[in-house]
Amino acid sequence: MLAGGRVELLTMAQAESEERIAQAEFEAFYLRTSRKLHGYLCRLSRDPATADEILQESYIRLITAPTMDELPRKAYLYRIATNLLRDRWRKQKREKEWAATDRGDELFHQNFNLPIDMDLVFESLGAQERAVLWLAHVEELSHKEIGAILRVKEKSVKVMVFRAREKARELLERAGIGVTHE
Amino acid sequence: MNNQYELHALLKQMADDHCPQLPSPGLIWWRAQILKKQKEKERIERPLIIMRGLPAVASVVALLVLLISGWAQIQGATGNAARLLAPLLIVAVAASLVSTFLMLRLAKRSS
Repeated sequence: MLAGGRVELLTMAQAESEERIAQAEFEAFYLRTSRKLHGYLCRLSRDPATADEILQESYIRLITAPTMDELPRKAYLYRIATNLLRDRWRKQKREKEWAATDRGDELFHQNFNLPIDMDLVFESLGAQERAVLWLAHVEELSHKEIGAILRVKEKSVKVMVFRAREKARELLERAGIGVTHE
Repeated sequence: MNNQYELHALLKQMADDHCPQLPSPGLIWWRAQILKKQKEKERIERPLIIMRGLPAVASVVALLVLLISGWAQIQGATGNAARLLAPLLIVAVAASLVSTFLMLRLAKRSS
């Protein structure tokens, strides 16, 4: 009976220790990834409040997901976040926002008195273009991972990245920011 | 300088300039643990909720079977009053089903 009680105490202590380790690992992962994920969500949703909510929901869902290696974990986190955002848009009947490609002319014509910077140029791109550029350049994910996040084929990602880059470069040149011809 | 690298540097800089107010990781962890426990509790209590409703549903079904199979005898025993009996029994069965459904829903909400 005593031995049984001891085994139970050891099992509880082990479970608590494992939970503390899991929590520490999560906190380290969160500190590494949260700022950029929030930036991604802000850029896509154009709404900091939405970004805040989806960020928290994404991490909560990740915690309940099975453990995995770091790189797939980050890609999985971005997939959760992107899906949550799309679901929200679907409920708000804003599905068109994901597919929409061009706000460039609208923005430049409307705001020619405002200083043009990278933020504004990025905002001029469509949601999918912003997502692709962020994942490829800021997070430096592979085409395969980007495809898994955005639920498109890897070959399509290559084309999407190329087109988004070209469009961004064109907008930057029009704005007279930094980018030169090769 | 290469075009692509310039774009890359600009995007990186834009991302680095983003400094939001983020919730603490401890808060998110705590919320996740509460949700996990809630889901676990629901998973454990699901069979109990089903078992609570099952006797009520079984009783209603048994009553209906008895009524249908013995309707001729009931009619014979009650005479003209059988005409009133049928709608009353329908109302009683419907009320039992509705109350069982509400009871299960209440049990699910409180768990």
